[in-house]
Amino acid sequence: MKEQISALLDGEGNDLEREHALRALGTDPALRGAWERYHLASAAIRRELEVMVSPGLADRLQERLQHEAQENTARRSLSPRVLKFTAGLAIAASVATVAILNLPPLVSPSAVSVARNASSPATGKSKSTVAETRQTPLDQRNALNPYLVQHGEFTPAAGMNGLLSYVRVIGRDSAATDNANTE
Amino acid sequence: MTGFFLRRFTLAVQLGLAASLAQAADAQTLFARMHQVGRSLDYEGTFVYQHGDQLESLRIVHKTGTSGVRERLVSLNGAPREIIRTDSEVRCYLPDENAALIEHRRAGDRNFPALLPDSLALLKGNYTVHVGKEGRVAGRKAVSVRIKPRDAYRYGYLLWADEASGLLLKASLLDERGGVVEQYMFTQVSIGKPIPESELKPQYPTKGIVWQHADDETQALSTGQWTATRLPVGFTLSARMMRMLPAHKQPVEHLVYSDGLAVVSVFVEKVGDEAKPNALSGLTHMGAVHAFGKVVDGHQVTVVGEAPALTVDMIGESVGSGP
Repeated sequence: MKEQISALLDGEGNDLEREHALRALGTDPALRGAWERYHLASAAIRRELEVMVSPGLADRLQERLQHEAQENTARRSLSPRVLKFTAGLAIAASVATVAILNLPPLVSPSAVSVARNASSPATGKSKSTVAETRQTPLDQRNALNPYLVQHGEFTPAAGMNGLLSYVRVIGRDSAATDNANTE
Repeated sequence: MTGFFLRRFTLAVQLGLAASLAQAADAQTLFARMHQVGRSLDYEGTFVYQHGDQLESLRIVHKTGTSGVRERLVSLNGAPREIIRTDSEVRCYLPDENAALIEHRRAGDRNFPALLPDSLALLKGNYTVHVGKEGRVAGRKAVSVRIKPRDAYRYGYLLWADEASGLLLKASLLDERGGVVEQYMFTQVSIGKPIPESELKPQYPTKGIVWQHADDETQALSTGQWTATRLPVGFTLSARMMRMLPAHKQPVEHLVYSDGLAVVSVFVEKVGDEAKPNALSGLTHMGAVHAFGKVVDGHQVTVVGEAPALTVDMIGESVGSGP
């Protein structure tokens, strides 16, 4: 089935296969995860997309659509089987729209911005704010040094036996800090 | 017809499996050598460290012996900072800040969580590992290892190790699009030649400098008052301890979260009576390191990690008091 999902992403396959893939996407959370990963991988390979779909987007969309579908049920009393299929098509179409139109949705785990979609377990509420990540100001960098040194002890051997973490403490010249100050 | 496709599929799976097993064996051997070289070989050299549009040059001297591993790291441009590291402590000389930090290292568990062969299997859940091409770094034959994350919650790595010794000669941290977040690379290195003792001494005068000691030994904790309730897939709590930080009056609870490669540290300490103008608030970054700060219930929470903004933000936002 994952091959069919991949084909769907690539715009391949006949109508029957597409329908089959869309139906499966609507019912299988694992496949929706695969769909997101393929989309991320595809976007990363092409390096075309500024915005990527956040993990769990498909599930959140499906949850929303199912909620709407339940409201429709009350009004129109469709059979659950038909509803499930309709929701499946809708979720896949919605995800595809986000993917194709490159809409700026809920997202973007990029180096410059971060989307927070935190659910508070205490309240069950969710919030969605986007914060720009700025360079750490110089005075805060100095205050962070003791933390970075302690953190460095746990950095893996991939960073040359933790070397990289210490490089960050001393490896910045005055020009770099001047730049950080003016930002 | 079905049989034909089934045979092709089976063959493809077998070939793929064989290739990945061979890759895994190579990666394990290489990681083991990369780890071992730090404990058994002397080396010294000059390397460049690039982050964003900044380029720094540093010198490293690494000496092994009966008294353990000792290492001196010196910045060659800008402020003359240096770090001398032994098995028991880390001394940071920061003359531009008129300060020196002395930090005790934990006993045992050096280089945690080291990329040892055993932990490679653990990595597979969150990363794919490929031993790749042969090339040259600092005039030496090198072999590459590419560690690709399976999602956007961690960085990827492209490592180049010396073919003869296993010493890591070049390392790049890559974002989810494959762009370089930061990297360092030896431009000159000498491996296996004896290092004179004088090379391990601090180079700059320390007269008049303020020494900031971490007073007490680290105390491991089985349970603690603080926890992060939301973690990206694959991250678990790896260590928890109470520590004293240099120039900090209050003990700090240190929680370490890791996916086997990426590490995020959470520090929680009581906010004292004195105002702390430099206390971290919100999310910022220094090269590949993201830092997050907030105050909860009269406690300052500081989170640092070589991980994408998304990861540090998720962990930092969810830190609260609880089991």
